Amino acid sequence: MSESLHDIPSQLKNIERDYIKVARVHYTLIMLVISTPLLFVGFFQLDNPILLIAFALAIVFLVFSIFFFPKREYSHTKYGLINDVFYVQEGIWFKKRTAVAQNRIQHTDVSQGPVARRYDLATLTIHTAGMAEANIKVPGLKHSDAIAMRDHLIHLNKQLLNSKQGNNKSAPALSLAPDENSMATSVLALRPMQISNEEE
Amino acid sequence: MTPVQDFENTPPLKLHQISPLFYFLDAVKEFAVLILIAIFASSQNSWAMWGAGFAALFVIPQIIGARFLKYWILPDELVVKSGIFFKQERHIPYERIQNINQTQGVLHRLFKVCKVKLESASGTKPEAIFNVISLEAIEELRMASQGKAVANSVPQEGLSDTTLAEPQKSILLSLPISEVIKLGLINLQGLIPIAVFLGFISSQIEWWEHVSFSWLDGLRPLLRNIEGLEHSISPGMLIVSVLSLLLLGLIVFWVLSIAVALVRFYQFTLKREDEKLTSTMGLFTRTSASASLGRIQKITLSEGILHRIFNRVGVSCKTAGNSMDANNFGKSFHFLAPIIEKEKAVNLLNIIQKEFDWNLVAEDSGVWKAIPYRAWTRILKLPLIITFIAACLSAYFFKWWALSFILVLPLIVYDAQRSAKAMGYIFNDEFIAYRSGWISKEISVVKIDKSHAVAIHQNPFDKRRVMANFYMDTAGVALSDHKIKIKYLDFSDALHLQKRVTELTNKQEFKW
Repeated sequence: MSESLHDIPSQLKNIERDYIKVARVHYTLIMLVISTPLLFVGFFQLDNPILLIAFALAIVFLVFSIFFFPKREYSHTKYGLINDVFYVQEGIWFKKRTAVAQNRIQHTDVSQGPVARRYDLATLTIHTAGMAEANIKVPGLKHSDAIAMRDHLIHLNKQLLNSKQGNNKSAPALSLAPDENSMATSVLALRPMQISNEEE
Repeated sequence: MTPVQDFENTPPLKLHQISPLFYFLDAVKEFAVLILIAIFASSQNSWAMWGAGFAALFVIPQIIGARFLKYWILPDELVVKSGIFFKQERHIPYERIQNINQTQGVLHRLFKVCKVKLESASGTKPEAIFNVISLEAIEELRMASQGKAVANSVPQEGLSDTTLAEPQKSILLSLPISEVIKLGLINLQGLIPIAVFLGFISSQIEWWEHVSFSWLDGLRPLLRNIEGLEHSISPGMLIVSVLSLLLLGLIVFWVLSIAVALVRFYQFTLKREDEKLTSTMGLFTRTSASASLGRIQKITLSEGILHRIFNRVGVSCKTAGNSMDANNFGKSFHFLAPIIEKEKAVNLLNIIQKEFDWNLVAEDSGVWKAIPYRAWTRILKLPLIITFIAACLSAYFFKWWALSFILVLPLIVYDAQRSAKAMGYIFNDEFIAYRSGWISKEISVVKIDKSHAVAIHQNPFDKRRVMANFYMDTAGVALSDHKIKIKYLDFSDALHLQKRVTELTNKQEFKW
């Protein structure tokens, strides 16, 4: 029997392996900020036992951020669309599995940081109208995959919209051509609820 | 220059002429402490005078800005134009307005005006605030937005017979004074006036010292008598007098909290007009807030020890749009019934959300599913650690007396076991309910179609005990609210819940 989120067999996909490199840079930068004072003070006063511990701690931080966290984060992050429900699973110690019914997606973003761009990776963000889980992020997707996923989600929404309107009207046209060169592309997925419930 | 739009040909509506007065009063309220200090403090505290001056300065741009605010009530939207240098034009379609909240203080009533706040679903900021407009204007606004809502509901319902009937008006609940007094006894909010008073006192120690010293001078002969009495008082007398003093304090506290309840909830009424709920309350400041029935996101029933003594329960709700506003208390639509008899609460809720039978939510309905009882060892952990730390600290001061903390252990074990038993949930195709607490109980109910993302959390402790934490996200719910966050669920149950909820939501359209 599966006991934790990481063990359950599922159809969820892994993110790109290159994400390890991106995460490595990110974690190292964060850990450097934390550990620089420790390194600095520790290095110049190696005879002081407390500061020696601080120095060792800083080294451990850095080692973890290069060799441990990125790989773990990569292997623990999974995503996928199963039966029109979008799943994201993440977290090394504190695990989380978020599910969004497809028709609750308000809009989606694809964004790319400077490091991620080097490896052609992007982050897909899914927005809902909720509160605590209103932004659901999937990092480490291939940029083209992220765009495709985004378009797919919008397409599903449009299908739903069409079926709601009895197929006699076509959904408002949105220009969906992915702009590969733009760093961040954001498209509003038209909410079916706006059409079905309130108007007319 | 922007081209003149159609609506601009009609004369705009403006804020009531008296509005600068209210802007000024609001600013005075904001800077009340500073101004009071300025008045009471002696001349060396000149900075306080500066503060008062600053308050006045602060108002002037607001007052000028208010004169530039124009609005139009158009057939299907409200247009608000504001700004002196940076013009802003907002178009608010009526269907986007979630709640219309109006506040009317004593002065407002004198001038027959009121302050109005319009909320949309986006949550963080009110869509528009009118400070202040005349009662006729608010009525017009209300009619316009309701007219739109009614027009919308006709094709949606499909059958014309029912929808074309007379608009349904009924008073769902009105609290008599006796109930409001009970509410005061239960809510125990006497601390508010005490805190305000203490805050005021502490803000001007100097003046207070002056007063209290002269007081003490007067008391001194009395005190001398008491010193003499000391020897003649028996220990029994001492205990009686201390107890009676405590009792007196409690009575004062209760009287104060009844006063607070009366000020806030006097003549609380909940009205229903078609699909719209309106609650009105207040002794001096009358507030009225409305929300449409379908836009209620979450309903919470809460019941403390004192509630149980009176066989009462409090019913509140969340609508999308009022979550992030810090001082929305009483001004946004929040209470369905601040206090109501348990049996009546079920009837009321059956009217408000008639999609399912609210008798199911009653404690003894038999459909509640408990969380695994072994969770009590998890609940025990935190109080155990706190007790341990407290014991260690007191060991430092009181040596062996710290061992008396062992006496606390049975209590916290009992509490953990009762808490674990009290936690439970109901899940079916219509709604999901979660209850927790055994001393003060809370039950939250959310209809499945109001759910957004559904998350399962699992921390290392959960993993070891094969448990998980289930959270259903709803619009408008703040961090501190009681919500559908079911802890210590069996892992497989949590997974199943997540799967079922998302399957169901995919079938049901989200309606604000």
